[in-house]
Amino acid sequence: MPKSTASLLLLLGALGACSFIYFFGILTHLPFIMILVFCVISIYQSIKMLRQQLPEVTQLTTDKYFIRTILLLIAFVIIADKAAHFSEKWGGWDAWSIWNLHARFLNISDFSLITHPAMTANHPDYPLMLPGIVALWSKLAGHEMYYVPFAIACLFMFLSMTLVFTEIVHKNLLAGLMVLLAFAFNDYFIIQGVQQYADTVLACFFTATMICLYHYERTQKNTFLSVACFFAVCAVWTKNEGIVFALWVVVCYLREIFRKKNLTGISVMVVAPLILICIFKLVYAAPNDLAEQKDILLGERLTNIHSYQLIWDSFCKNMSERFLGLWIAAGLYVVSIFFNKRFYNKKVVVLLLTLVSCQATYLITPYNLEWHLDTSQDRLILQVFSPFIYVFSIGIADMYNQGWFRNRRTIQTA
Amino acid sequence: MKPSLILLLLFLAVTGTAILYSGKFAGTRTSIDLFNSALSAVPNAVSRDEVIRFVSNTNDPMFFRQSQFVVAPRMVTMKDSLASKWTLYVDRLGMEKSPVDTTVQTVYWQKSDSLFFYRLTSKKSRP
Repeated sequence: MPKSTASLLLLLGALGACSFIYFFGILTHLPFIMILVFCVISIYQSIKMLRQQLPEVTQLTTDKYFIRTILLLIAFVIIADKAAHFSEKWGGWDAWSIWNLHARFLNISDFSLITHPAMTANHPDYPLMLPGIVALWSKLAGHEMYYVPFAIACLFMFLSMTLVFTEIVHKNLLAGLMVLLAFAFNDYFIIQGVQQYADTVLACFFTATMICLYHYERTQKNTFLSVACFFAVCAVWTKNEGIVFALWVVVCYLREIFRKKNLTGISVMVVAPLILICIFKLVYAAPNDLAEQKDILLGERLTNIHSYQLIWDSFCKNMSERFLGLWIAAGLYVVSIFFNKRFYNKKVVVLLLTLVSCQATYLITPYNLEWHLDTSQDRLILQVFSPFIYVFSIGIADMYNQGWFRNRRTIQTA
Repeated sequence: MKPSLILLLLFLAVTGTAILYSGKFAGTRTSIDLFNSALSAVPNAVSRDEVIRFVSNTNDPMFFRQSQFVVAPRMVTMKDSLASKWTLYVDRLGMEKSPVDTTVQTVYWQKSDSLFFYRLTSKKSRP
């Protein structure tokens, strides 16, 4: 793993850990200064622990150093310009009626007001990763400022792209450039990034999990698997779709996760966060609107062909209008796996299963299906946009680097 | 690439975007800003009963248009954190988040017979 990716993952992990610690502090009524001390100690310990293990698993890449930096800088400038252009004060609807409102409640003494019946429309069952981070920084800033949640949203948006770029560019410069193009010229990615929703945050944690799983598969170092599991738990703490993702990660990597030598490391990373999530979900969170439906005619809904048709049509429309880069990456990847005859990729399977499972919620939605698809399906695809771009491009770059494409060209020329 | 350089670039990108963002909205006031101002103007001494009466007595049409988002009276019967309830109320009421110059012109609190009313006046009517 490139050292630059490791440092970005450390930053992302620190943000996730701070959210958990902040929530723990709220639960236990710790003074804010103590929460900060805990955050600093845990980040320091993580850096110390990783420093002991990182030398064997990371390397500093110095070739084409200048051009990579310039490319990244150009992408940052393009995105920053577009982000400022697309932004609106206080963010999008969900930002200020759900995420930032929850952050405001985490800032006051009685955070359990989030779950009050009067808050039903504000999704009190949503996990608190993003509100926790926003609340922590708002408190540090002294008072609520409209650019704090915006800056945090931007951080996650830039992190999503930079994580993928630093991973890919160290394999292949051209592939790295394509990744930057896919992100910087996807206006929808930027619009959603600055809306201050949790979808970009979730995409970031999905991507981080995929990166760690990729390096685990290559090196078999259990550090990567433990960190991947931590990021999957962070995804659970970000949005309910994260639960689906984490379940598929566990199912697909069941043998590796429950291997004796890996289990201790994974437990250290995930048990405490999981306990906090369980406390929130079991004690405080209201039932999910999909889960608490009564008199649901499940059989009837699941056999309604019209619903499947609507979901599929909407999916195709969203993909072609908003995620053309993903289509292209998927197409290139499919071509490359056919040439290479490497059909099975666990990471692609995890992401596909997550995407399909989340689409399945539309079959049992209590709302008008067209309205529900219109308001959320594009964001579901956004959640897997950057991890898919990562797994496709790293797959293509790996196959290219192994010389298969070149060999074929040589054979044809001959 | 050096980790420190990447982190520096990331920091610059986020800070730069945030500066552009705050510059874009400097002086711009949305209805959320107005409600937040109104919230800060609510005297701390306002009592729980007054809040309940305010919520149940007001007859401003805009209030009722958005009444589904307004905090229910039972909400304010909870003890403590009065400020937070007002915050909730203000957030919910600002659901439409419209620009000041097109819809919401003024919002202010008025003390009358120990009740707190708010007034919203619109420059043009809504559809």
